[in-house]
Amino acid sequence: MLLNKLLQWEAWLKSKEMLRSDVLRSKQKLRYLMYLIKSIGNRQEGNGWKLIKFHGIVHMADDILKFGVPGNFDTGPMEAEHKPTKRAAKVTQKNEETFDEQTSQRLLETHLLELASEEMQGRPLWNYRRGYSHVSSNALDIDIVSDPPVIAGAQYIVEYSDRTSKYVMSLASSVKNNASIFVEQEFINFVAHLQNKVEAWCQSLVVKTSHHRNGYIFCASPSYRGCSWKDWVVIDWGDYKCPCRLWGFVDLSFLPVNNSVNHGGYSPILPAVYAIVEHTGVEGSRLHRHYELFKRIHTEVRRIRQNHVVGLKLYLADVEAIVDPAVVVPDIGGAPNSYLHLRPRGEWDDEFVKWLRSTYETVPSSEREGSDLDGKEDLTISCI
Amino acid sequence: MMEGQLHSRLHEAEGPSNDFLEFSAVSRHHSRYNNVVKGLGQRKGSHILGENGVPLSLDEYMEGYHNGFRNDGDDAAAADDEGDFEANFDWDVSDDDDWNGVEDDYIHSFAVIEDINSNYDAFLDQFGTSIGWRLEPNQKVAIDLLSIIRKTNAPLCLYEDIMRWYLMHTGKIYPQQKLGESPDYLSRTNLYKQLNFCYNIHPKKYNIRKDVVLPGSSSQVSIVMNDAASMFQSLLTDPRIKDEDYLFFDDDPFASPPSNITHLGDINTGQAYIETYKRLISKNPLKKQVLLPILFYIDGSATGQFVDLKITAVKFTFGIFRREARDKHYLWRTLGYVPDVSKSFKSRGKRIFVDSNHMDAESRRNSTDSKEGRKKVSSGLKNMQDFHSILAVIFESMIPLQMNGFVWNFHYKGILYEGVEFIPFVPYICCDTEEANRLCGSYISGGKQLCRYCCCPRTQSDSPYLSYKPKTFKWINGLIADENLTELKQISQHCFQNNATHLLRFGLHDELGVHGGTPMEMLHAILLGIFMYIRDCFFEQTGSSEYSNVGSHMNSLCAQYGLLLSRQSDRDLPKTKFSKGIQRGKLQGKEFSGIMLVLLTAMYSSEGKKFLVPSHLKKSKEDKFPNLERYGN
Repeated sequence: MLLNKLLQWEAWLKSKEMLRSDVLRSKQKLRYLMYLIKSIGNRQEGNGWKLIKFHGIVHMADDILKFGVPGNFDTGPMEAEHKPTKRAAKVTQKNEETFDEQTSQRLLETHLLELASEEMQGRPLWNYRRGYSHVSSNALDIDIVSDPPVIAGAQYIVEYSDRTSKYVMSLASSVKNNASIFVEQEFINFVAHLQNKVEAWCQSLVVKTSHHRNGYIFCASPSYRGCSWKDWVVIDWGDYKCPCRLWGFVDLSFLPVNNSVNHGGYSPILPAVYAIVEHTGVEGSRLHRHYELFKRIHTEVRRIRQNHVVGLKLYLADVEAIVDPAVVVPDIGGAPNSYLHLRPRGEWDDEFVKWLRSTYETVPSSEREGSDLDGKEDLTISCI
Repeated sequence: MMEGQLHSRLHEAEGPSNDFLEFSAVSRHHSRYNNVVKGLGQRKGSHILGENGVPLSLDEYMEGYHNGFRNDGDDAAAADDEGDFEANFDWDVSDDDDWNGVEDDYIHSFAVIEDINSNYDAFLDQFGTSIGWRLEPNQKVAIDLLSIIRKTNAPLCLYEDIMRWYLMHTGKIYPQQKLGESPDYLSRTNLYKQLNFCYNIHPKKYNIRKDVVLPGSSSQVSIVMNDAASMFQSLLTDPRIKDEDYLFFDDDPFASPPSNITHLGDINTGQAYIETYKRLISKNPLKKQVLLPILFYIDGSATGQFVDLKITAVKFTFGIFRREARDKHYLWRTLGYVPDVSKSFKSRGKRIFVDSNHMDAESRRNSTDSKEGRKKVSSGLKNMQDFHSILAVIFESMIPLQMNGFVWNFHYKGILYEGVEFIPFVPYICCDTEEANRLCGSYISGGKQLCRYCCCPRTQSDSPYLSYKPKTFKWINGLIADENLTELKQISQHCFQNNATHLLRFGLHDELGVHGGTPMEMLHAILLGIFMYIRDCFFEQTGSSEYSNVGSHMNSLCAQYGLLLSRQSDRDLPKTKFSKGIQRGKLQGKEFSGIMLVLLTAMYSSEGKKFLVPSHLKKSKEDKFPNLERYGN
């Protein structure tokens, strides 16, 4: 409850825009958050919660009303401004008497070089009143967005091994390290069966391990940076969306439109690029509980025996149906197919806004008698 | 007998009035020393500090300003006219009294509101497009090489070595020749001189060094600063600024804020901007006025792990730039540097040495200010007074601009708006809690009140549902004027004269002044404050990982979840991988949201739940970790 709220609060504070009415409500709501921090945190060390950083929350809404969103006066990005100063300070004599002066001189010299660099790019200082010409950054953005989705990465092929009398997977491309790679036999069998069904059009089906789409790189590799890396994505199945785990990508665009290939939930398989996925079913499509960041989901499996998954259930999904990345981690200590799905970070502030707009919590009784002033001091106290 | 005669003769020769050894100034004519003379000349002439080194009030300063100290004829500036800016190139950049139409009075020359514009006009006339000057090939080579050296943090002397290597291997000089003998070689000094001239950087407007004896510690410090008007001009004309970096309503620089603002976003949607706009900007549409928020940022930074040299810069940018643009380094300018006053013991040591009348100390007497090192003890109050004296000196060149505004031919979206009057004000100063307390004149630590905004007593500062009377600068000033030490102590305010921030025009939306102009910011207050304390509280309740099984287990679980969360397709997550676990280790502010996330994940997980609430205690009220539900679920 508290950690949920704190993360949502931080996301809200980082918003680029806030409704004025929400900020006004936050004057009261943040006091309740303070109460939660105080009562749950129960800080015993030092002065407890008698800290300026804690008390400052009371004034936060006023600051936002006065100066706009907190990002305007956040020093976080400005801390990065120290870098040029530090860099300049490094090339001084480190003499205490002249340190500031030399640092300032180095910064001025850097500024001069930057102005000269601008001039070399056609923007001399004396052109200010004519206007400086800049290449539009939007053109670059359009290029990035309009990059066609592609599948790439390491390539695996599936073959039948007479020695082991089963299908095996082998690496068709070079990789940097030569560590042993382990792949689930169920997955190999899934690909092998698909290969057998499409062998009329393709001798050897290649499984690729990454997919680039809308600036995201989705990875589905049995070996990437030391171990397997299988990303989760939200897939639109038509009537619902749910998080699914990626196992690999296959290009089946060579298939004719009229075919009778039936595999991985498709009948027939239309010519397209497909992701091999693990599905979380309708359960995964349910909304997160109110105000919470995590939702517990389960992947569909064929069988669980002695608390171990012994049979996977894999599907094909058109890569065009991938709508969003998803953050999913195993629920350690839970069922073997249980996972925790994290709400996208872009939605965290929405939850905080919902909370701000909900009814005010009653002032806890312990806080109603907060003042221990004896009336001698000339201070105005008002209980809200 | 003989000794006595010799002594008396020597005494006669010295003259009866010579108690100390006599020193005579040695004149030097070498060009190198002209720079030293110039530097010394620049050190004098601050009008913002009174006789005792305490800042003047705004009214006193402006009165003096209007009564003519601006035309005092700064002796120092006048004295250094000769040959201090010679350059070995064809253009006439000798140091005459008229540099791009600006008088040589080094600090106040721009105070007339049209001077920034007229300076730029003169720059264009002298060096504008009419000449059609372009960088020459040897200049381009030197610029490229110096840029590389800067980017790679290489020592600057590498420039000469690389140049020698380049010129030698291209057959332009012989190994035994000096670099300077090659016409293709351009020294660093000459290059910067040429660039200074080309980019309207007047050497007397940048890196101005002032020696000031501080009133609190009576130590002498050198304050390095830049002229505000030159900085304003530099910021307005920076070629890297794009049209989309500006923040105007309806893309119109003269548009007033909408009457009903429902959404809060950038600085111009806040009350400070809107109310100040109403009060300062004329409703006459013929007057082309733009409200110019000046956003200050004051923060110190260490410059190296093994270097005891801290640098505290006073930086600013304009609020007419969007927030995203303000994150770029080239939209910030430095007004000055706050020297470290904590080393006042050095001045005191110098004074002890000089006052000892030792023969070796006599040479130091001339370079020691009569007031320097006179005070014995350094205290919080004295440090505070010193800090504000330094700030006042740094702010000095900005005050006339702030009070009078300035005129500028403003280019925006292909249109040159001539004669635009910019009206500056300071909505807030960004800084951490310590700097903010300094700026407000509040106690840095201790005292009966913690808050610089309001009169909340320390004992009540953890009570969320109480509100207190705000502190206003007028009220505090009144208490200081009345020397009401008792009440000042009650509200944890130092009693010192003329807070330097009172020289600034804060937003006219309230009367809090600097007390409302140092907002609590997210990095220090929330990430390095609340979030860090919550983490500590959690491990306080579970027990430290060194001694408690629960704490150790949770730390390990969090580390594992951090690893798992770092391997996701969604790159929007905060950093969650911590090599030393989450319980300890020096972390940056932005990493604390990642700490909160992994902590929440671990508490949400089945393993976390099992461990935090052991099964045999689950139904008991005395859970080992009673707050699980409230923390995480």
